[in-house]
Amino acid sequence: MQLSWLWRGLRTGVLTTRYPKASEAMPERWRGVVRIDPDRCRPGAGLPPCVSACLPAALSLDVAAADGTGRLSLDAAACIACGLCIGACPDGALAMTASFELATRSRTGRETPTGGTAQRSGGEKRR
Amino acid sequence: MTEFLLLLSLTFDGTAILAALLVRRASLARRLGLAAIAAGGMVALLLAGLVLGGAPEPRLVIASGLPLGELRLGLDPLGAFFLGLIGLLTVPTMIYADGYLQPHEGRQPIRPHIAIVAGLVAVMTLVVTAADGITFLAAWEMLAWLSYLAVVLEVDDRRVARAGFLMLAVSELGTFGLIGALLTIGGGRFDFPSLAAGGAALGEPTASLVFLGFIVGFGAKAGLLPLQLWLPEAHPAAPSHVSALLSSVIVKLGVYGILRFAITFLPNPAPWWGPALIALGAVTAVVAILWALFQSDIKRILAYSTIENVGIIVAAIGLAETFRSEPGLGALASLALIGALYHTLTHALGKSLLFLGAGSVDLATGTRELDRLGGLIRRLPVTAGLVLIGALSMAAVAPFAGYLSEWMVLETFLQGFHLTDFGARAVIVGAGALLALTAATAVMVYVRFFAVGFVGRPRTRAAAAAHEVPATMRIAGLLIGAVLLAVGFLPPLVLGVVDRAAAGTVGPSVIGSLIPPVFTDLPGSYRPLVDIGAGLFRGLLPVGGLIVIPSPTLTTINSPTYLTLVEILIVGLVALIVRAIPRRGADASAPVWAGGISRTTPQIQYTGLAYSNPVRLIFATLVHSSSRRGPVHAVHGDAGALTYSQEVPAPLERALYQPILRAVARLAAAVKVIQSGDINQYVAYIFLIVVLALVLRIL
Amino acid sequence: MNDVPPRQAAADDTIADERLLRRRIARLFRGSFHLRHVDAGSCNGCEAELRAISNPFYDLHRLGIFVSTSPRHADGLLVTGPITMAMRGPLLRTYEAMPEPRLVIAVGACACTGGVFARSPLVVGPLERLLPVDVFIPGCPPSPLTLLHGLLLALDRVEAAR
Repeated sequence: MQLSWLWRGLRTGVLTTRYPKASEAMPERWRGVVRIDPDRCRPGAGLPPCVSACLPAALSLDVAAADGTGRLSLDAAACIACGLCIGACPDGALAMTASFELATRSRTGRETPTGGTAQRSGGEKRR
Repeated sequence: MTEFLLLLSLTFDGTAILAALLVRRASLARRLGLAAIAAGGMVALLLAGLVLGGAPEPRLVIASGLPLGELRLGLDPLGAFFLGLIGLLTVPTMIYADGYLQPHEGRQPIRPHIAIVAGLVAVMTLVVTAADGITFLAAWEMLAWLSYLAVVLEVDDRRVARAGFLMLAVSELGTFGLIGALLTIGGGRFDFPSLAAGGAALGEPTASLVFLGFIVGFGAKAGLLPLQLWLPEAHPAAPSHVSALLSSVIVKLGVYGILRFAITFLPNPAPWWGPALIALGAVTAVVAILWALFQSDIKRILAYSTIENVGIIVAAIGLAETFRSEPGLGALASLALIGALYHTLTHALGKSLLFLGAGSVDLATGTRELDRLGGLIRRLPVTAGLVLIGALSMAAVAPFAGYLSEWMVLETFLQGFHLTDFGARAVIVGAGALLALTAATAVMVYVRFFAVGFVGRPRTRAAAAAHEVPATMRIAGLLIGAVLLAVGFLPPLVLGVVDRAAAGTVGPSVIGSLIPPVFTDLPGSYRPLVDIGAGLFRGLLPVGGLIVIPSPTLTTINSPTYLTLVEILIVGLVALIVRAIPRRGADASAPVWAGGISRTTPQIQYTGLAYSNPVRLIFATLVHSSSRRGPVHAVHGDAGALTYSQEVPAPLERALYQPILRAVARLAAAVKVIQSGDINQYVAYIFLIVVLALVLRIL
Repeated sequence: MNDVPPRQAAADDTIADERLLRRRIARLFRGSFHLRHVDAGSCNGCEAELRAISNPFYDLHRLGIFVSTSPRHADGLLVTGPITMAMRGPLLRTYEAMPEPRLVIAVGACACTGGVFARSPLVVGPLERLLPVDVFIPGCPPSPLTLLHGLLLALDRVEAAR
């Protein structure tokens, strides 16, 4: 009879997380997703080092400008949190955040409708 | 009148023999012969109906020139029941045989075969109408020989020849016991009244030995353990119409023998006879149905199922004998016997339907291997439908015929608590449990039979190319199917007849309590409802009542008639309600979910082997099966074919038959030394025998 | 890149009152949301995290979310992996087998965008190319809490990431 489990369970109490009713936090150095600091990010001419370092091609140069006012964007859905871009950035504009609430309903800002009606990709006929 | 009908039936069989052998054109000879046999069967059925209805029993004495004296024939209700069975099943099987035998023309000796079958039917009639021991024995021997000849239609197939020979050998072995018992019981006289008187006067242990002799003799023909070895070989080897006759009728003649000789002629049973029969029947049943689960040939499955049902019938007979041994339980004995006889009838109907269906499948696909069939319900709809009815009846599914008969047998077993002998009650409890296990296994066997063989998709090209069989074969099946459905829907149609057959054998007639026209001991406020329920269609249908109560007191009732009506009502009501509810939204249809597999081939279906494998593993120590995985033969480079074969030896083969065969072989080898081939030695033997004879004469 | 064309936007893709629709769906599935998971070529990292959300600490069942094996009984389809060409057919058949209403959830970077395999000719890439996706759960692999967030987002019980 595994009574020791019973005592241990009574001693430790309920361990289950109360998320989403109560907030949870990940440890400080947990790898969630990379964030770009817009003030520090100064992409110059040519391919920025972070873009070439990014394994899943999540970082991309939206607007290229020789004077460093270009814009970099991160596709959060593609980010695998490897952190290679952080080391590659000369300006230290990239940082890892420990946020875990990452889910979205759309990828690029285009709203896709939620569930309900059946959609088919081109070529699949509904029988 | 009844004598005339009996003679007429036999004359038809004789006509069939002449027609088959003498008519010039082959197809006409076949048709005439089979039609004559069928006509003889109809006359026999009519005769049986008349005698069971109360007509005077026919008595015939035919003085033959044979050295054994005259042939005595007579028909009492018990014999009439079995004669009715013969007649009932002869008609459709002969109709079937016309279509079945046609492709064999030219390859097998059809004319002699039809003549033999005609002789077989005549001899079966003689067996149940025999009124003295010599006639019976003569008919019994002829039965053995003619059924052997009927089985080996395909004489060139060694397996068929061997199977037929095995059947003959075991039958003759049993006949030894039979002759011994017959000689002992009558003390020299052989007419049935003398046998009955002699049996009543026997004391122990002679009576028990006689009983055993009869059980061995008739058990060999019926297929009881341990003499069942021939049945799974012979029934599949025979042509399908003969298989149907074998399983439905000829095996039941063994049951008739048990009833006539071991039960009726020995009216003072020792207390252990009944329980012994119960135990024998129950063990036979459960072993046989277990083995049925492991067979891959559809006809072998049906053959083992026949053994199982014979076990159930014999167990019910044993129960009747047990109740008869205790005073005051005569009604229960009658009920048990009615259960046994009714089960005989329903099994005969269902099994013949199944064997005819199996023959049709064999003809349509060219194979009898269960794992090579599949999808036949689409290719052979009529045959598959008929097989389904037969299978449902054999699996004792309500409201088909087999349901009520099996239920009656089990219910009568439950009445065992009326007995006072503790040993008998213990045996009944054990046997009841075994019979319940048998019933469950039978369901498994028939689910496997129908699901693997008939539904799903065809597993081989042969199955995919199957086409429906000729009309005569289907008509025959439809005839039996119609009778089966009628008996299932209205059991009281036949229960009255069965009661007439059973009454007086072990106990009184119980039809009044078995099928009461109305309930009599319920409180008055329920009376109008009960009167309506019990007598709803009574005016319209030729039955005494619609409810069956197989116990002397009101402990349990059943009515397949009402069950069917209620089922139809419920299904109809539900369908109406579902249709009436308005539905929102559109229907979508999508393909069957099969795990998302892209290519489903028929080979991914269950095989019969796989379905029964868990049971085989559970009973591994009992079954002694062996399986072998063959070496991989490389076909395309690294890919190859893997074979898996499994062998299940026959029951008792390793435990009993092989040791006996080895002992006999050793004995024969030891005795062989006499046969030296030296003529001088043989002359010396003759000299010694002469000297011995002289010495014995002097002494 | 392989030549699977991206899914064309259907005429009824944009819904006028999307928030109302989301509320209705959330009401439908509240307390009983059954998920069917399809591994479309995943490295099994996401599967390990999906296993973790059933453990006593995260306890998926307390949220009314369950795993169903048959798509016939499922309300939501969880897809992991960059949809290899081999799994394309089975995945589509699984989606077809689900009765409506149904939600599609892309789990992990591979399902969302093709991940590190996006340029391979042997994968379809983002799940969007095949099916209409309702929720994207990024991560490689997404932690159990991220998964819970995503599942609750599908049920409209939490807010999406900004």
